[in-house]
Order: sequence, then C-alpha cells, then structure tokens
Amino acid sequence: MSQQFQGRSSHGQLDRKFEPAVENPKPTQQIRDIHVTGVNRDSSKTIHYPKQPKIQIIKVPQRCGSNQTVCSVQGFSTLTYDDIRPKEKEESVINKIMRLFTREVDPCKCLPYQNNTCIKAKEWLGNYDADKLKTKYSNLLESKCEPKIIKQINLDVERTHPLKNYPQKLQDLQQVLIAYSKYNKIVGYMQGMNFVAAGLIYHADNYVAFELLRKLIDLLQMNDLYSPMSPGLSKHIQLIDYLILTKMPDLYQHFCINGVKVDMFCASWLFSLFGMMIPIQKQVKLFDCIFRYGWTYIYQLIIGFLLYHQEILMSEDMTGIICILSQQNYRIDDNDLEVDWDELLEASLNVKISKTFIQEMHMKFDTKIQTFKL
Amino acid sequence: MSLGYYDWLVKVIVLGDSGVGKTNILTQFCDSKFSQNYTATIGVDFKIKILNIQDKKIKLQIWDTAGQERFRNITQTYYKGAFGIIFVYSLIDRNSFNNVEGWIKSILESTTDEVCSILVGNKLDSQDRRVQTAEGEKLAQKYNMPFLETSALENKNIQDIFDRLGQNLKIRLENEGQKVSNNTQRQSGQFKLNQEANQTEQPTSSCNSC
Repeated sequence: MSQQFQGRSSHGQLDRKFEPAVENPKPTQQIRDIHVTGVNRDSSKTIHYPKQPKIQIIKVPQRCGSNQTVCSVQGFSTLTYDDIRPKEKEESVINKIMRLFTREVDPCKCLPYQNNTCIKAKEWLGNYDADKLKTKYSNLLESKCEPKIIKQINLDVERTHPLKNYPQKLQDLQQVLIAYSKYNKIVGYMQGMNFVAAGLIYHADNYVAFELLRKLIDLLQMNDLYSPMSPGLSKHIQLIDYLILTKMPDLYQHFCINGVKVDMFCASWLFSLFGMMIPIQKQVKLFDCIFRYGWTYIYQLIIGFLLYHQEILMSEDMTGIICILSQQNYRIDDNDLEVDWDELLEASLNVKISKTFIQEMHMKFDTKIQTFKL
Repeated sequence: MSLGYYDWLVKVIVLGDSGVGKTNILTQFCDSKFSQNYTATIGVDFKIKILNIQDKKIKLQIWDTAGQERFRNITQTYYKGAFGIIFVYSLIDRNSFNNVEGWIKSILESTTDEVCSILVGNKLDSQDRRVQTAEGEKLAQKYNMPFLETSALENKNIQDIFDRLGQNLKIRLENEGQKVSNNTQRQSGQFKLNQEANQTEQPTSSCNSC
C-alpha cells in the first residue's frame, strides 16, 4: 500500500494524505520507491529500535534546575511538572520512583546503555577498546590548543540549540570539539561541527563521541569541507545541483528562473550534517544511514526534502523558496514539527542515487580548479 | 509566503564577527522576541520583513551570515545584489570592533554596486563596555554611514536600524525609479521592483556610498 506525499497545500499546513496503514505490516516485504513526482510510502512506518521501557520520561521546564526529568509508570496517570512541584520536598513514593528512574543525563531512547553510551553509538563505532579510546582522548585533552579556537568553541557550545534541554552535555561538547581540534590541526574547528558533535554526544560518552566524530569526518572526507576556504564545498553543491536537474527537472528550471542557487539553502545543512535542522531526538535514523551509505544518503535526504516540499516550492518566488527551505532551520521549539522527520528520513532511502556514481564523482573532483575531471 | 503588496524588494546582508548578536537583532526585529537559547548561524540564514517608510512598503530580504572568519569566502558569494548592508559589532568585544573595517573592505572588494549601509554597536545593555560611542561614530563617519548603538536584549534602537536604513533605501530607490523611467534600456538582474511598468535593475547611481 503506497501513498504519495502531497507536499503542502497551503502555508505551514501539511496535507496528511499519507497516513500510515497498519494492516499486516510485513517488514520483510517493504516496497519503497521514490519517483520523481513524489514519494511512495510503504505500509510499515515502524522503525525497529530497541524496545522502550514502560517508563515515560517527561521533560520538565529548565527552571526546575538539576532535577531535569520526572517519570510516570505506565498505568498511572501522567504527571506533569505542576502536579509534582508542590510536593517536591516530600519523600513520597512518587519521588522515590522518580529518583530511581531519573538519570543524571537525559538519555536517548536507544537502550541498553553502558555508562552513557547507547547501543546505537556502539553500532556506529563497531568494535572498540574502551580503555584505549579513553587514553587517547584524555591525552588529546592535555595537549595545548590555540586560544582563538577555544574562544570560538566556547562561544558556540553555549549556542548549540539542539542540546538546550541537556545542559549536562555541554561540557562534553566543549571537550570533544577541543579534542578534535587538537587531533586534526588542519581542520581545527569550524562552525557546524558543533551540531554534528552534539548529535553524537546525545548518544554517547565523551570519548566515544569523539571517536565517532573522528570516524564520521574521515568517512565522509569532510576535511575538505571543514578546512579553511572549504575547498570541497563546491563538489557537493555541484553534485546536488546535478541531482536536482536529473531528479526534478521542473523544480530545477523553477529554481533557475527565480535565481535560487543550491548553496543558498544547502551549505548550512552540509556543514552541520542537518544538525541545525533535524531535531536531535530524530537523528538516530540519520546517523544510521550516514554511517552506512555516506554521502549518498545525504544527497538522498536533500532530494527527499525537496520532493517533500516540491508542490509548494513550485508556486513560490525566490524569497518564498528560500523561506520554505530554511524554515526548519534552528528551531528552538520542536513542539509543532511541520515535517514528519521519521517518515522523511525513511522515505529518502528510496531516492535512486547510485553509490558508485557518487564515489566516482567525488574521486574525479579536482579541488584546485573546483570542477570534476571527467 | 508573500506578505502581500510591496513597492520594492530589497536584499540586505548582516555582517560582523561571531557572537556579536546579528541573529538576535534580526529575531528581535522580525519576530519581536529575544531568544536566550540562541544559536550559532552556519553559512547563511534568511528572514523577510516588510518595512513601512512613509507611504512606501519595502520588502526586506535579509541574509543573516555566519561570523566565523572561515565562512567569509562562502558568505561573500551572497554579497551580489545586496542593496543594504548592516555591519554589526559588539560593544563588549573590542576585537569585533577592530574587525569591522575588514568586513567593510570585503564588501568594497567584492561588489562594485553602491550600497546603503549602517554601522551597529550591539549589546548596549551590558555594563562591561569596551568600545566607546565616539569610536563607533568616528568609524561610521569615515565610511559615511549612519551609526547606532543597540540592545537586541532590551529591544533598544532595533527598529531604528531598519528605519534609518529604510530611509536611505527609499531615497535611493526613488532615484533609481526616476532614472529608469527616463531610460529605455532595462536590464535584468538581482534587483527587482514590484511594479509591472517599472522593472529596473543594477543600480548605477550613488546616493549613499559606503
């Protein structure tokens, strides 16, 4: 059973014509196809993460200080912050349960954990020797760092909005970024890395997050994106431009007529690997796919995102287009998501882009002349 | 997405060092709020707002840029077609003030178009001032642009930035309009007037050189 993405019919309103069907979900027989005109969905929307515990963690407004989470046991009525606050000092049963299940750091949902590293983070990293990594990481932290870089990192750590509900993680973020800047002196630190690191830190202890960041940057050869002058940016921009031309010729033409260029909306997505756009809780699937498919998936997701909005984009001028494409960026408040990210991240896998083609093109790019040597 | 009728569409860029409050100024101006959970801009971000100057409506297409020096060659690609430029520094960050001239020069180098600019010293709310008002004024005079000290946090003088800029833009655009109606040659380019009979581009006059 497949239904089409209809895009938005009017401002901010999604046509939810693709409500997932629930009859006979057969995960093994998933047919997923993305056509140029829209995204076909399969019947199963479920993403098989490890089972969540029957404890529901409720986010509490930041003003409540150290006690960041409260929880309710299934079957009980859900407690809200205001319900609990008057009885805060009482050693009630609820408080005891609360303390039992309140972790120091608000965790992702990818159980089980080892320290603060979840099963997903381990999957991304593969086999590793925890002690070795710890030593490597702490050695890096001890060495000296350029004051200019530290200044920029400190400035950005505070304003990495995906972690605003996880203030305990900010120190980790700072340390991981400093460690990486020492590890990779050519790159040092570039804005955007803070968002990538934040997404990883959400799932892992600092030394594991560092290793994941290192692995990710190596895997995606992001040196050429993060080093001064970003010589590799043009490679991705040109490829995305080409992909839009081949996958969505109408939209491409519409972009040309209105003077919309790919880098106007794409650059920030690439530098942060969507970290400034996709809510941190929804990034598991993103990292899953990036670690598996590399740049191919990043391109797929960009094409998927454009397909998702194609209809409304076609009816807008330059200002409107850029507005639509950037309105998911830097969303401090994730309450009313206009994009169903779980759905989009999954559906984007169906965009047909050959991994071999992408790899070949990347190899053929000459950073000196900023073109592909074909 | 459009905000209804407008007389002119103008591209404005906001430039300045990292953390001086570029995004906060824009959020305060466009959405009337100050966000404590503010965020670092990567590459460019984008906002629109309609500005009323006397009887005219100017639709501002505002490009918010990343402040880190490394992004400069990327943000430079967005200079093209910009008609208004807001240079921002922080009153509590001496370096950001020292770097303003660098930003101004980067504009002078990469665009030959005459632009309307304004110099803004932000974070007026802070007690820990490192740049005196006179210094800002002097710099603004040197490059012949208006100058304001603002606080995005307390929403002080924020509207004034755009009113001042808008005034200059209006004078400038009206000159352009006259020129075009006298001139039969009409080129196409970045700059658009939202009037059917009055399509003009690529300004050539100089009203407020930066």
